[in-house]
Amino acid sequence: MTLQTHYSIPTSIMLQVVDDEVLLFNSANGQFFTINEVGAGMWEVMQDYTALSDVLNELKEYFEVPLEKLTADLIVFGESLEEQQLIVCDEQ
Amino acid sequence: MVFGHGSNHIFLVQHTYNLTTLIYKFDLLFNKDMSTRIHSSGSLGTLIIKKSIEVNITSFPKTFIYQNNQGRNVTLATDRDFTTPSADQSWLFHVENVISFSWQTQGGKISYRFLEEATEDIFRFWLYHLVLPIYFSIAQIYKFLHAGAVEVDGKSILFMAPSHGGKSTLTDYFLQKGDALITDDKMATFEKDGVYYAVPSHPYHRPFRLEEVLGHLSENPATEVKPIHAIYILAKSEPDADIVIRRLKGIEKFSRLHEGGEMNFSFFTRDYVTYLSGLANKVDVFEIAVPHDLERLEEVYQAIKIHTLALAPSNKLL
Repeated sequence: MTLQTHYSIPTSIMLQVVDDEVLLFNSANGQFFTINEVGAGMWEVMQDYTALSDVLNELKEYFEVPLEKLTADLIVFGESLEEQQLIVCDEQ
Repeated sequence: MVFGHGSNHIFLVQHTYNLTTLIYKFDLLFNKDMSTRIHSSGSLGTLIIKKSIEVNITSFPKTFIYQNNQGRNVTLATDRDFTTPSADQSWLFHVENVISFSWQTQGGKISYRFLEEATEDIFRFWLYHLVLPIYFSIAQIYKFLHAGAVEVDGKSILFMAPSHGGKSTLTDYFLQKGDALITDDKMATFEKDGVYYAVPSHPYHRPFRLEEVLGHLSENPATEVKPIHAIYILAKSEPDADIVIRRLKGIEKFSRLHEGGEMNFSFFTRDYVTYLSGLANKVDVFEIAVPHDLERLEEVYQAIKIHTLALAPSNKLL
């Protein structure tokens, strides 16, 4: 996965908040996953875009970390989402 | 409870205790010709249960569920694809060789047809335990949880556990102690103004789980819809273990409630999950370690009773 990766979020994916814990639920297979505060912030931005490069451009306005670290964290997060079928990626 | 006969209709009447004919807070009107409706105060509506020769299983080409239940082959089918059910969508619940029920999503009427092995008691078993929960779920009137529930000093508490996890045994023990029965197995709930309510189901209890048996008629059924006070999830422990009650939070609370989902049809999954999240955020949920020893049920009973009566209600109007 790279910053040039495009992705889509299946309509079966839902974000729910229970007692301040954030979880992603896949209604297609009944699986759910918790995400931490940073992941929840990334997910919120990802819902507005289809390319990781666009997500990064917006995230860097909010996260006060070196761009290299933010880029690496976003790609790792994206890979874990893809692995769990929470996003569908399209390399372009 | 018996079936009383009117001039051109048959309706459910109570003889054994002071309760109007409320099943899931609906008046069930057993009616042959639809000519008469009876309303009683305090119910949420009237549902016509009509004997008919019109139930034709070939009219329902889309089989949704086919399974063995109570030793019978059971089918839930409909007349069109499974998306969001439309108001006029027709449904069939067919128990092979026993009975067929059919209805429209929001038609307010369930028709049934006896087959060769049907009896009046078997008819009521399938109607109360399966068909009505399915009807209310598809009509989006109630959301169901797999739970037993009782009313303790006016507070509605639910017991959830996997099948054979002790729900019925514990529910039965509370009934023996004089607490009121809310439901034996399928807990009808709904949300209004941010409060989650428990709806008394029907006054039958099946601690023995014999197939197609309606169960004991409770002498003390709950009659009022009340906010859910607490949910206790039963966890079996060693016979000599301490009885420990632990508050659940966050993902653990949600996942345990989700495991106890009931009537969670695929076309409503998103809606159901959103509902469970709301319920989890509003209602106190606890895990209780229940020793695997019937001799210690009294201890479990006392522990829950003390705990629940000391619990300040979180599920209330703000």
